Amino acid sequence: MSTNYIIETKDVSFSYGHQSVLREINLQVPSSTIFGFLGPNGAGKSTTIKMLLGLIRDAQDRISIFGKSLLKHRIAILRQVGALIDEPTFYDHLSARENLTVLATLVGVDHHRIDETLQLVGLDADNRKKVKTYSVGMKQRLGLAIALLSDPPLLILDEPANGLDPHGIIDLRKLLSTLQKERGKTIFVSSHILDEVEKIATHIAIIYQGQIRFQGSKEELTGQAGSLEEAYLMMTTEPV
Amino acid sequence: MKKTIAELGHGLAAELQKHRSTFIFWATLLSPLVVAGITFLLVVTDSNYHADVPARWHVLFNYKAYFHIFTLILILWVSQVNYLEHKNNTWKNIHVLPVPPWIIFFSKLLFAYLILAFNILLFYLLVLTSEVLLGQLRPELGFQHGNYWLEALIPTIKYLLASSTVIALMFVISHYFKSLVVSITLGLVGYVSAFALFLLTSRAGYTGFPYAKLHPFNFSGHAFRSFGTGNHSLNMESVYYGILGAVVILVGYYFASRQKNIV
Repeated sequence: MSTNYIIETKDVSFSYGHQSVLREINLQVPSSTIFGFLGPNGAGKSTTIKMLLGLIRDAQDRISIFGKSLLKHRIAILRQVGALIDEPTFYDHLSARENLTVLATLVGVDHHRIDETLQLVGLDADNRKKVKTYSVGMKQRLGLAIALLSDPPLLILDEPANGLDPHGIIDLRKLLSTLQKERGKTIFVSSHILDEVEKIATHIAIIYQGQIRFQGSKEELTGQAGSLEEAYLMMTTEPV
Repeated sequence: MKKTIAELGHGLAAELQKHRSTFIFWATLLSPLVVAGITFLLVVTDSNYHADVPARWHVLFNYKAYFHIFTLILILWVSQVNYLEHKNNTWKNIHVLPVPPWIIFFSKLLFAYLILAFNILLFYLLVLTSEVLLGQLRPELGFQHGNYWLEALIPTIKYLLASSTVIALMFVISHYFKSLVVSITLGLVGYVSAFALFLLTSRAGYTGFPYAKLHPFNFSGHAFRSFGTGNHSLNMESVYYGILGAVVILVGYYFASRQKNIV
């Protein structure tokens, strides 16, 4: 596989029993981009992300991140990846700070990063409240904080705008843009909110029924179909 | 090697941070205080305790009863260590961290084991402290003439080592099953069946089932039999069974489950 891409997959397929979820996925995510991974619910976005993170063990030899095989270098790769998976989950009996402390301790991240990260996601004021008292939006922010904790060069975020209020969505957009433009991070972000992806993504892939229907720069896509919405509808609608 | 030790240290510290605000953690740590404290107060205040203390001192201090409590605490505590991840659905968070899966598995197990070791050794120390205090407070009982530290220490360590299989078994059960109720129920079934088997085969004149001691939950009970016999050696069949059983269960389960998808 080529080393020009931060994430590269080659013919990755996956089935739950007899149900085929992913079919020959070939992703190529360039460095320092915001890569929007679009698709309707059940298209295979979360499964793809779980495969990229090694939570699903199949086809790890067909996935390369930072030019290294996920099968052979999983730990070294994960050292450079921050992830927000599905609906974020935490130790509910602990506060946001304590949750971050647990993970920072486990990974050996300097604890001064905890304050920085809490501030970055706007949870510094509520960081000592138990997570079980948090709203969905606050939990989403904490999930993002976990992904950012070790300041990794690659972020893999599954539906990060879920549950955020309009202010939260605007903050998230600004944060992701800053991380990409000023810190050169590569951000792989899955979503089904077209408007948000259109505003932040530099590159886009559209997945439908486990297959990649389009992959390329946002300009290429909108050049082909006029707008992201039209392109998305065209690629994710069964012909009648 | 240095890196592995550091990772294990991080794992243990992280487990402590997760559990230190839970009730079961503190109940496990402090249960010896309750049992030893109540026993001490009873012996100090009840005039019925007298005479044959030197021979019966461990009975006086409810050592046998405490070891039953210890097994029940073990079932509850070890189930809780993995249940915390099941309940919060946090396995996926842990497994996307740059930490080898075996470190995560082993640091949880080690943490569970160390807390249990602390529990049983705290009970031992509290009994020794009670002995010293009773020598002063009720000299007529004769505790000041005894020296039980070794006599009690070795069976206590034997009990812990022989319990290793049950600790491993409970760890594997609670790792596999998401429900706390299922884990605890399976643990209680093991405990009750072992106890029933032990009672049946230890009745006077009954020489029935000779393999009761091979029930994993009976390894520790068998190790306890050396209490008060003056046998100060760790070299005992049930201790070996306890350690060997734990190694077989843990290694087997780890290799069987490590390819499992986390979805």
